[in-house]
Amino acid sequence: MYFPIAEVTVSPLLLALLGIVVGTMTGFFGVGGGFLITGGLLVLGVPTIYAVGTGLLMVMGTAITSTLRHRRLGNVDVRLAVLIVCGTIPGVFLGERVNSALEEAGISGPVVGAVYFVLLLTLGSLMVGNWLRRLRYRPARQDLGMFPRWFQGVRLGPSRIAVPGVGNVNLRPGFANAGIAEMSALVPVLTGLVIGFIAALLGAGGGFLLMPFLVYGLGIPPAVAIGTDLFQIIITGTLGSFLYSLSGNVDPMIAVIMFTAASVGTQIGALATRFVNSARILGLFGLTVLNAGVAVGIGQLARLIESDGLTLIGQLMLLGVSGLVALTIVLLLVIAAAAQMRRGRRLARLREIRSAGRVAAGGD
Amino acid sequence: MPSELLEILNVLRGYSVVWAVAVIAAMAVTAVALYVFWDLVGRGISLVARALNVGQPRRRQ
Repeated sequence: MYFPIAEVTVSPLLLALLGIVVGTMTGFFGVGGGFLITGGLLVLGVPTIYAVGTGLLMVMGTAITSTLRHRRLGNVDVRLAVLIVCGTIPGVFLGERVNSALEEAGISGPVVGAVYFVLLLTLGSLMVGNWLRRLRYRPARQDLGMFPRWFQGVRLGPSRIAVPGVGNVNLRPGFANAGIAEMSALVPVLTGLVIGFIAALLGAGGGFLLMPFLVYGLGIPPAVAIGTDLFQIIITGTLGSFLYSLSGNVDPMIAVIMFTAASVGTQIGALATRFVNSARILGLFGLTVLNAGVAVGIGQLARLIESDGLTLIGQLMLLGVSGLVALTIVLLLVIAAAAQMRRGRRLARLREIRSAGRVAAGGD
Repeated sequence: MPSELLEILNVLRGYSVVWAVAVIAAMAVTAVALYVFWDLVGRGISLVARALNVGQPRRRQ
């Protein structure tokens, strides 16, 4: 199918498949999946600037749906989220400007591909390494770890400033939901700035960066990290896709096809979290991130040397491994549901036997 | 894609702010519509699951 806005021909089936895979992982792991969407669109041959813009639009849609679903959970530390967004907004503007400048210079593709490659490989390795360590050693709950101790303790700027009409404003506030007693307000603002910049440059919501940072960097409980992360993704996604749309670099047709397919996967993934403990297979997510990094690297190399064979290998790697992870989630869901169904039937049979026994005893 | 729709899209793209707002609004409406649709489907599945004694959720750790 030809998409006239992005001026590219892509099979809608492949787009839908990518959407379902991304949706399943989004629903299960609670991240936006932007790294996979933009990476996938790049591998499918969509021009870089359109892959980035369209990826942001889809991330925005996914974040809205996920937030609507999470609205009752109360897993958002509003103070932390607002401070992160304060940094995210200028970061997104900066990232979009840099990407447009790179596009004008004709080097957007290689630069975005290279940054993706390095980030995904690094993050994937860290996540797999952390997962393997946790399999052997479960740290005590009180043990914050080196990074959270440092980030929570670092002193950036003054502790208080006097604002006319307001009085003294505490610049080292506490974050109750996140379980942080005191932290410099500049830490989340600077975090938001960096995340927003990278997100707008790469066309992702930034969830794949912010989520691990909140959990491993700031020591925030994963549930609160997901809620706070989603809040930030809505802002990044909306602002980013608005800016890219202004330049006409978004193909809504591609986004809608992928998003509709992703909504099916999101439901499967969300349903699976009711039956399967996602923490146990976080390593699989790390492997997917690692694999996406390698696939993006291969895709970029294929463009450089104009090799159709390498392009195909990149496509197979990205969709194949991500698809396998999504399939594993579906299989785990089916197995767990079947086990519950058996347990339910057994309980029903036991109740029948008991009531039959009571009737027989009453008859005697 | 129908040529009329293509023409409308091309005209809209000429007005960058209108186009950007239309794109964002279209995605937001799609997101809410899909949420409502799947919410209704989920309620239906829950009713069936309850009837089949399935779906006593495990607590996440």
